[in-house]
Amino acid sequence: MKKGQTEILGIVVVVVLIVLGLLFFIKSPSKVETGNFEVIYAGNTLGVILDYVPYNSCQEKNIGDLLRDCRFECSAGDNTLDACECPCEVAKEEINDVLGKILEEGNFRGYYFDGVKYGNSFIELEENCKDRVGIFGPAYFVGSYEFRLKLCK
Amino acid sequence: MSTKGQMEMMETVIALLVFLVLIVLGLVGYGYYMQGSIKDLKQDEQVERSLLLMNYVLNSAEFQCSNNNIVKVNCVDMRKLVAFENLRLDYRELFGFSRIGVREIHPGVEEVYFYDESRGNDKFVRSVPVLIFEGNYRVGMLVVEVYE
Repeated sequence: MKKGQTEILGIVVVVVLIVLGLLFFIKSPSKVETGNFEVIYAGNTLGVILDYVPYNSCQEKNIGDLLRDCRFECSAGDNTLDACECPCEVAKEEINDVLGKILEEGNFRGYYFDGVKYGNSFIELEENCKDRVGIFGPAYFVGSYEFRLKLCK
Repeated sequence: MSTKGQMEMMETVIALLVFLVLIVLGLVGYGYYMQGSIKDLKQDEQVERSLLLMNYVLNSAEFQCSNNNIVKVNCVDMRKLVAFENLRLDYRELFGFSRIGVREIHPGVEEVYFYDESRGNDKFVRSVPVLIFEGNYRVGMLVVEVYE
């Protein structure tokens, strides 16, 4: 082997060593995905809201039951919200209150909640989220009703 | 004064020095990489452990709300949590170094930690909404702090 060839071989070895050294700096992404947790979080939030029984509820009905009573029109004035007379209004107020407080605790800044019956939306509540990309939790089906919640960052 | 032999010797010494510098740089790089990957593994382990603990608390009879054999999902019974504080040591093997509790956020504000085996400051905190039952329902957060 000539001297020139030996030197080229040396350079090749050095280049290979540099490339191997650089490979150590390339980090592999973390294995645990946070996306799954956010879906669970959104699902839990929706479940908690629908199962929550407000203090001023009617016959200890939870929010899900009050929402299903939305077909009854509110007969009282705006200032006297009674859950037996105005189930939908009480439910809306409680959902906004609870979601506002849950958002303060987590990484989310907005929400979009809607209830659908036979494909027609009968309640829609939102704060900085309706037309934005967000995380949907699993939908809740109660009879012919479907409730969905989207949380936005 | 310098002969051809001395020149070649110098060349060999310089080549060896360059080679050593490259090896040292490689080792330093490898050290940084290993440090980062150990940190990632530690964080992954904490994330997984927090999810496991959360899942256990939400799905075990020791904490769940139930009525007439019907279990309410995502709900913890405050009276069970208070009673659990006496059993804390029995669950040390399962919960390890962690701090678990519930924080009421609606309508009132209250915080109860029913398991507290905290250690040091390096912790991973995760919380998820839950219903808290204590005669009536409240909304709160189940808080799990996992320590190293």
